[in-house]
Amino acid sequence: MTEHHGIVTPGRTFRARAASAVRDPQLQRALRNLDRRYRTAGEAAARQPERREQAARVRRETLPDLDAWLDRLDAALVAAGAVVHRADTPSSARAIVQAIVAEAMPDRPARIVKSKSMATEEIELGAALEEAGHDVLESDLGEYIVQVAGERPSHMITPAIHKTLDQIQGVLSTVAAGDAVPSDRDGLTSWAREHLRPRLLAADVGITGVNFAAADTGTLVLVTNEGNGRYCTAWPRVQIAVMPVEKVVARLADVGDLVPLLTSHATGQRLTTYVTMMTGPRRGDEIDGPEALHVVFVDHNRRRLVGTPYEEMLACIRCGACLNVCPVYRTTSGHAYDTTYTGPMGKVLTPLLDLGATGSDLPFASTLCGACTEACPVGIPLADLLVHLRSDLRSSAPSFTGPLVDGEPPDATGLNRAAWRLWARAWSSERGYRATTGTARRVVRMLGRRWTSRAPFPLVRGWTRGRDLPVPARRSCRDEWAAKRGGSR
Amino acid sequence: MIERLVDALEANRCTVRRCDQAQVVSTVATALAERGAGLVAFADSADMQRHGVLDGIVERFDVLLPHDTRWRERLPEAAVGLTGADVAAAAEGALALAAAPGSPRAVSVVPPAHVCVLDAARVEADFATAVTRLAREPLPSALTWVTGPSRTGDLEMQLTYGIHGPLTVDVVVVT
Repeated sequence: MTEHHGIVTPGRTFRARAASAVRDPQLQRALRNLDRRYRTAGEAAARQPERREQAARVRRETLPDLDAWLDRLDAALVAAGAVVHRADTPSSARAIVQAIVAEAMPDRPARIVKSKSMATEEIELGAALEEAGHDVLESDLGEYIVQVAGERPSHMITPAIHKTLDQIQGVLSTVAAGDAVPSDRDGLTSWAREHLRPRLLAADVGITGVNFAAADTGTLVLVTNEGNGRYCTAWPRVQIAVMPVEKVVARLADVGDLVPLLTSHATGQRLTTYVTMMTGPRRGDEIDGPEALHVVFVDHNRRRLVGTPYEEMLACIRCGACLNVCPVYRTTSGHAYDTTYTGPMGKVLTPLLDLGATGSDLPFASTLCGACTEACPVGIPLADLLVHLRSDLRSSAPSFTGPLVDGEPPDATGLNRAAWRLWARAWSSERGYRATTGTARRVVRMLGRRWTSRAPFPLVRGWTRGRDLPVPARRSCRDEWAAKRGGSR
Repeated sequence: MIERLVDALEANRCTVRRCDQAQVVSTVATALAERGAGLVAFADSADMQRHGVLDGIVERFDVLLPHDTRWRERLPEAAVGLTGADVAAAAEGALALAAAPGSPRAVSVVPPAHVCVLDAARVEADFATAVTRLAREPLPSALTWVTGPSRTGDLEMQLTYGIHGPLTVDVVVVT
């Protein structure tokens, strides 16, 4: 069921998928709901500027010496009674989880409940477990909707943001077994509660992500709103927490600032409904909580980013703020990216995780407006990283080590490269700048508006396919300025 | 600080009931009665014992205790989960519940209503202060922070309540 056959935004490239997204009126209507989050990050930032600085520092503290911090966390987790596994690749992470599940349920397929976790999406865990015959429930409401639809989440905080209420009702009706699914929000919420509760209560294994892991105490921190994450950590006898390696923080005390920063940027809440801090499995005479707590560290090429300009990306706390303010994301939605991680952070992270094998066209799908950098609660220079990545993806020796799997991206031709060089040289001097812009202004004005909305020339055609080239004013700003200064004298 | 906590809890959609030491049992009983008066799943704590909550309600309500041999089977039938709180954060309006043999995790998640008894002495200024203090002490196997009823924004980003966890949270603040 979690195979992503439900194509919401078809197309082979980002450009093609973005074009289908723009033409989809239902999607555009659903995306307007994202307006509620447009100012969330800005408001959160204004309320707590010192907290952003503090968090930016704390998130970077463990990165330069990541391996040593992971060893420390490993030891603290083991001391608390957890079992630690380390996976270099998504496939080894899946194999580790399969083995834990098989050992927990040797006689029959397991009933597995998952709480929302981008890390498990990244390693495509749900599909693998279903293929092995297990019953897998994505129990977060948004995740459940996309699971039933056979899609992937389109937003890391609100997985079904691309669907309208009518569409959601339609999707859920396919699993209602004749039972009518209410069309109002409150009714639909109670319907989902009753529909999913028996499966939450029957679960053998709970699978969660990890928001932060404290190396001093071995505590895993999980931030949720719905309560399904609490079922996953309280009710099944086995819990598996899948943790990308960068989630380690030095001290549990650091979480006191990080969690409110995460929640305020993600949803505007000072704190989510639930924050769960787990230190080991159930103890002694306790009657609930997992008897066995497994933690799977997932590397997936993250550790090789340490010491490169992309180390910064490992500070990300997955709040979704950069998606919510991004003009590209807000127009195309997550499925246009066709990757686990979407929006600005996804454009940077995806090519790095797969060494350019997936998402190598994504860094180019940006206006470089910098809204993402401004929204980021931990100060990741996303726009700069995008520029850096553009150049690295065109280079034969990129600064993330290791070869590019799919070789040269499509338009890295010699001509293209020469054109950029020429432009760089022309605009490096005032004379060059004035001469070229002056000529361009006169030529474009002469050609007129009809031409600028659909340019016939090869170099400009690609650009004007999606937007109009504005007709320049008669006089440039520099000319106006010079004239004004002259006049006032 | 208590005023701040009460305001924040109410903003998070909790129902706050304030009382003094002598009125704890009657206030809890009122909350339980309003939340359906069905099976009450009880989680013990030092504060609950000091206030004699269990003795005070056991005559009037059907109570499910953690050492009940059929606890796991019966918990899903409970109408209310009744717990204490180990810490609270005033600024965020958050209650922290530590797991213990007498205080299982699921009591505050499986029943549709949660009633929580909080002693004013346990209130810290904010989450960061509370976590800094907690991190210096031995930690429970699970410490769960609760700010209000279970909620989701997954239906067109409009909030709805009671998706998986409790639909209502009553906080009895004892001063």
